[in-house]
Amino acid sequence: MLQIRGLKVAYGHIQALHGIDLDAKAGEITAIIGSNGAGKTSTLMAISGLAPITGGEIKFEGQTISAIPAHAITRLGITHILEGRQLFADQSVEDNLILGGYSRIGKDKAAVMAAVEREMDRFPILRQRRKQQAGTLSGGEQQMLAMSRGLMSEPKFLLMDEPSMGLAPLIVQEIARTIRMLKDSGRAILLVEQMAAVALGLADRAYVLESGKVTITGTGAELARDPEVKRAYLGG
Amino acid sequence: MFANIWQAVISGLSIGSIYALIAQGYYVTYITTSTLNFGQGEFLMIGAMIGLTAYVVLGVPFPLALLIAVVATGLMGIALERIAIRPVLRHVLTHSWVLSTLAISIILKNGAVSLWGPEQIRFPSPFGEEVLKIGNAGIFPQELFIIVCALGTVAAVQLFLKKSILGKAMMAVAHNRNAAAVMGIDVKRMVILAFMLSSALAGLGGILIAPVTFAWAYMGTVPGIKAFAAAIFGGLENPVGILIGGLLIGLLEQLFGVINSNLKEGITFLFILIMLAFRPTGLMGRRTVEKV
Amino acid sequence: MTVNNLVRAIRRVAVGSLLAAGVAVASLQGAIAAELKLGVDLSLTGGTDDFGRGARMGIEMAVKEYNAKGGYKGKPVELAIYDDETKPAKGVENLTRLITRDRVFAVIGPANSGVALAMIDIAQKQKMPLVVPLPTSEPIIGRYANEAKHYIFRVTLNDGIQTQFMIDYIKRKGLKRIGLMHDSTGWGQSGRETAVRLLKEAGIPLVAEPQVFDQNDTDMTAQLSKLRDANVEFIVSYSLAPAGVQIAKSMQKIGMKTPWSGTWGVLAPNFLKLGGKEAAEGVMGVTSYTIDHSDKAKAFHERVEAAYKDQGGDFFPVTTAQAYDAARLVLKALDKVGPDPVKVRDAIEAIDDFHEAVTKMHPRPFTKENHEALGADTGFLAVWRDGKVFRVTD
Repeated sequence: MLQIRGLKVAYGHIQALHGIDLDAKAGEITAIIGSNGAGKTSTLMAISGLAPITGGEIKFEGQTISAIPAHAITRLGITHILEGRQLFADQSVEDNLILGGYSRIGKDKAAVMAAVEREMDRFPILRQRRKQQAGTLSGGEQQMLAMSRGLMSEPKFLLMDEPSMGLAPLIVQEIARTIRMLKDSGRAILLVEQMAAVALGLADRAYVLESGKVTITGTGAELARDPEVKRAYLGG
Repeated sequence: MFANIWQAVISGLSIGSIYALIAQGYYVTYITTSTLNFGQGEFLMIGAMIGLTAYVVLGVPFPLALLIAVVATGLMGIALERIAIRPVLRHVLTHSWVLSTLAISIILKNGAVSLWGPEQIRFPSPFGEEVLKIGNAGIFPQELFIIVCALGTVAAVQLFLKKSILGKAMMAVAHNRNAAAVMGIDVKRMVILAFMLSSALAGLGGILIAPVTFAWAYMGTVPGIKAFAAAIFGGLENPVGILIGGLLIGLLEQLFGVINSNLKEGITFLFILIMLAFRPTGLMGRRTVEKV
Repeated sequence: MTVNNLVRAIRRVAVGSLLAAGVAVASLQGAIAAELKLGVDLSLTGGTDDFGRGARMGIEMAVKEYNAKGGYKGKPVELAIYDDETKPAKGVENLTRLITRDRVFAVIGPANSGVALAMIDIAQKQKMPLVVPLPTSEPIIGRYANEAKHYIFRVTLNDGIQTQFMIDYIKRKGLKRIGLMHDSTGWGQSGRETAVRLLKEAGIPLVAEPQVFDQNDTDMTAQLSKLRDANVEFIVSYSLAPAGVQIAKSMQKIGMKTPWSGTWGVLAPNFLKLGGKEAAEGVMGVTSYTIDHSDKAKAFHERVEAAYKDQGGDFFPVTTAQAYDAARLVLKALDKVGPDPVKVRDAIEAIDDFHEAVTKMHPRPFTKENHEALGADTGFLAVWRDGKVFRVTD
């Protein structure tokens, strides 16, 4: 579904990605792991149109998307669930969901409102808190809201940036279950994670990123067994 | 004594609601782009002058003249964003927009002087000059119209921002550009909309107060500054605080005038300085607390 | 004639012409005019253009009448009129041009105090008599008052004396409770000082604190309420037309009917334009001339109305009248001594038989010590009635 070739990203003089290649398939979870500053978030932001691409190419379903602005990329079916949730803290849970469906609300408001209900079925706690300001939710609840908000646009391809960050282990399991469910429904998921073990456990395919370059790639299971990976990211 | 105070209150509410209206313009562009249009006062003036030309010179009925003034300044706001804000914001770490919006304000002022001259011009109120009474305070119909129209518009804008999809999208852009963009919101278009709205509010303010203050090229400078003070007073990001700030400045001016006319002009700013020394984020502070 | 002789002749003519030109330039220090030209510099555009345009009508009329009677020794006087756009630098430029290029025998103008203060230095230095028909600032006459030969004359009520006429009115009416309002400019502050001093001398104290306002203030209800609380019978006010209109409107707002007077600024057509007839009704100001204050004035008014019907008629009577009298004084001096600026200056100062003034000027308007033609008892209060200015008769 997604093909990245020779992708370079630079912020002013700072080179974040030095030319990476990556493939992500539908119905699969592709993981990117690596330490802080390796370029994981930059990769996702390059895909969703939020980062400045200085070289290489990104193709989605055969179409080059490297030059398309962010709001248009969403409408192609790619949704980016941002690092740190980045909810609209001063707006209600319900409004956050509605805004998630912004790209479709002009065409079919009823469908968007139905999707809001659907997401609140998926995470009943959101229904309970529907009128509350998003900033007042707990960490786990915010992650659920972020995921639901992302799903409001009916994406074919989900970019998830560190969904487990700052969450208790029980909640992380909950999130992992949801991600697996999403993959099973036929979507492609590109998952960036600091917690390598979780990511590799979920991934069909994984990439290790170091200093803006891909160093190792393979299936999730392969990388989980790799001694280099084990030493660097799995605590020995 | 009480009668004088009541008169001061009524007089102050009228000009205060204009400050609140203009201040809301500062608020809209600030939350969406972290910039302020330092030419906001001149947009007020342009609204008045265009309204004057339509209503007095061309004889257009007042409601239409008002619409023309608001639409024209709104369109100028779009041009402002294109000329003075967007090209300058690429330089992320500078505040060049201060200079560029100030430059626009000077250009507008000089342009107005060459088009309409430097002197005050009468803008007859469409409501006539019969003094109305509220209790035993006198008020001109135009002043009453100002209060109703300005405050009504402030409420309408807040309703728009909180309840409509477009408004919520604008607030989303204000809160977090990237997050808004990945929702499918065209951030550029929202910014343009913000400037259009902000300028239209200033233009509306101009045509509302022109019958009270005369229409002239220099009419916008002081209201622009006082509205800015109102915005700072309210904490720049809190619409309720800004509304209170605008009304308060209008009231304080008049009330201090009752105490001692020498104090009238300077005291309001002195008061704001003192208040900011104690509460730097403005009276109403931040709008939300964000959970880490 | 040989080529050599021709060349020598040409050279002699050239040198001679250059010498003559040099002499002419050098002699400009005394500005000897060969022309029968009267110079005029006024604000015909810009802030005080109403004043300038009104004055111009008076000057043109005076010259036209003079030329119709035969002019100077059978020759008509020409007018050289320039617009200073209410800008001091332009006024200076125009004056210089009038002196050096047009070579006028006298200059009338300008309309604006700021411009005047810039021009008087040159007029005095270049020994060109300058008759100021409108600007009221006191230093215009004060600055060179002690010179052996003072070249600046004025035909208008200066700032200080306008207040005197307000006090005269107060004394005549036996008013005891006086209030004072003024704008926060330097002019307003000095007006306040003058008023306070004169009232004290007359033994009539203020019954409330002087009230201040900003000249762009749009609501004077606070200040007026304080004066009303003190039960004032009359308010002395220093403001330009815009603030004056706001005072009138604020009084309407609080239902206050106390009589008040401003300086001559509130009698300008701009006041009527900005406030409309209702706001202006009953507002008083100080002036040296209204269209009804004497028979001569009535007759003059009719002539102006007829002659300038297509320019709005007699739209600013006091400026036209003062400029008319100023121009006729200059022409009277011309009659006596001819187009020589230095001699004209002396003649103006010596005039003692000017009985035909339309303002309340005396037959001897000037002396060596006094260059203000309109001094004590030449001014009075006037009032707006139905969009026109009339003398206050009661």
